[in-house]
Amino acid sequence: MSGLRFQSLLAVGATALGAFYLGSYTERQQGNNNKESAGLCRLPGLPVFGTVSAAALIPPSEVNLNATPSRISQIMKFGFPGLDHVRSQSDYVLSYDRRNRIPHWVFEHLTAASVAKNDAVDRAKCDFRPDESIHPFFRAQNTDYRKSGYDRGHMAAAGNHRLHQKHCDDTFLLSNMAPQVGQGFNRDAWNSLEMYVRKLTQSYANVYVCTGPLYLPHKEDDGKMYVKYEVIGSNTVAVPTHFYKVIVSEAADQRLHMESYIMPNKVISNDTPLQVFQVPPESVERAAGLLFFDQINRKQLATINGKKV
Amino acid sequence: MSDKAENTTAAQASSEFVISECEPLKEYEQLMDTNVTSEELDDKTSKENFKKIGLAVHDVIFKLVFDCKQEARTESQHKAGELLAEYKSDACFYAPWPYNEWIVKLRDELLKQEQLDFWRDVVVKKQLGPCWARDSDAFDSEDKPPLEFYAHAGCVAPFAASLKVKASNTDQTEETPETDADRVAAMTGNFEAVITADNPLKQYRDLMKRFVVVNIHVDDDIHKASVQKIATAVRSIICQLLFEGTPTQQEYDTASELLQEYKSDAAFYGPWDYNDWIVELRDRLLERNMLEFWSEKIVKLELGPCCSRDSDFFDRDDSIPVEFYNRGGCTAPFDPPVVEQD
Repeated sequence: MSGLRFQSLLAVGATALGAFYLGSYTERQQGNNNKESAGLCRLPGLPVFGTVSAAALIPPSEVNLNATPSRISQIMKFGFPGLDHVRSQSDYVLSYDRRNRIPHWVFEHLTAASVAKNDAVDRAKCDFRPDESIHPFFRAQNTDYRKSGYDRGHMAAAGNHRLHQKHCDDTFLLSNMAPQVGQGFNRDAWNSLEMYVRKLTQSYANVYVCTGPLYLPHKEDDGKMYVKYEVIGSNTVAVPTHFYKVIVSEAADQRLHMESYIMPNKVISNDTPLQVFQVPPESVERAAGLLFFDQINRKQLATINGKKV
Repeated sequence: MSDKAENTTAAQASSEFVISECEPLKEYEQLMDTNVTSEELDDKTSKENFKKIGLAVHDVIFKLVFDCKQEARTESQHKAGELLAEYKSDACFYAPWPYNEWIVKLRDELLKQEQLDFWRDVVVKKQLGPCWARDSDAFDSEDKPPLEFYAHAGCVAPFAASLKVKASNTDQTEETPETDADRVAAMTGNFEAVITADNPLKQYRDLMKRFVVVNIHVDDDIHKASVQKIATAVRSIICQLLFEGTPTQQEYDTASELLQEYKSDAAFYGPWDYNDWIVELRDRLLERNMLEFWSEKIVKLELGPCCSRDSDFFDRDDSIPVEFYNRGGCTAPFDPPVVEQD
């Protein structure tokens, strides 16, 4: 009797299980046929890992060409400024602002090795190209920048990623660009700030840097404040009014030093010292709507903008 | 990735782009419009097409410059120059690297066949050498400026002078910071600007370095006044070198070196005083019949008023001081700008 009941239970169970799998299989098949004809495949955005552990150093000999979880957690060791459309490239992490067609922020981790001149990396092989992983509605294209009067300005600088050709190539995706004034800014003053950040790797074991655009308000003649910025090209790519960099350098004794800069997106004279652009990190956070390095208690920093905390 | 079959135009299907010698610029622009700049095209296609159009441009420029009949030379060189300038501005955006390789080949051929007028008047004057940070966003201030490219057949890069001041700026950052006394002097503008006839260039550089190009924030008015003070000293020493007694060749050279350096600084800090004063200097030179200094230094080294060729105070809307040089049987060392017609 009980044997019979067991058998029927088994049969019912097997049928139910079979039906469930059949159902989910056909569902999947249908899902596959519904793919848009444009052939856009959904790519994963935010890398979600079972554990987020403090980064262990990757042996320098191993060059990772994909965004490996260990590399991402290393770059993002001190927290995500925000979580909007996060993408991980082989050597930097980016949050994409779909409305403005440029990043919200990019995060990089630099070491003396990653910024060192490397003959195996050829800039001439790098090419500005649209990021196919971004939906076409929100993608910036080369045509947007052409004859716009603005450069395709890197947020994650090419010179910061010299361990491997692919790392450098990845910085040339248009999702990593924002319109920057060329001569006098992108190719000069802003470049000096980038060089300065690279130079920090000579004194510090690890340098973490977050870079992004700002759209700052200004007072107009009617006494009211407005945010006003140009948009370029048929994809209306936003031209930020300013850019920021917030930097944390980790010394050999584990002490952390923070610096933060805001630079206007305009011609800056060559002899302006970088210190002129230092601002308290809080003011960048307020302006950007993001929190930088929020895993670090500010009181635990050794210095901020060169001053003891 | 996605299916591009539906938007292939007839031009793409025929992967052959040809530019003839009759109206090369027009043909080039048409090819660009349909196959490169059109918004319908995806990025890959337009870049590949640009590459192919580039090959056609290379061919036709070589034909125009090297295979034309003697009597048609002027016209065909003019066509080649126009096309080359237009092609370079696109290459700066789409593909600077192949351009940079090819332009060296063109230069070598020009020098080999002794087509020096095309080299001097088109390639050098219009700065059609390799793309760099001045004209392309693929480069920045860390890349080496293509100075060497232009240094042939007695030419120098037209931007050589303005790079000098940059170089002295960067040298300065590598050095130890200024002394406390200098820092106070730079902040307050309280210093003596002394430049004597004995190695004035070094003295001038030293003054600039200590009181102008400093790593501290100096109030803008004070900074301007400091620049002015040093500029005044430079101007008087140049006049002293040129007009007191009979200048030696050595003094001529010293004066022109100093003038070059001063001009490139002026181009950066504010060219207006320079532009007024250089006219006075010219008139004094011509009054005294110092034609050699006039033609060999001022004209040849382009030491006339600052303009968009050497200063970011100006842009293409500003007139270029061509007329300044039309004295003493000389003409400007560059082409008068083409008035664009829309």
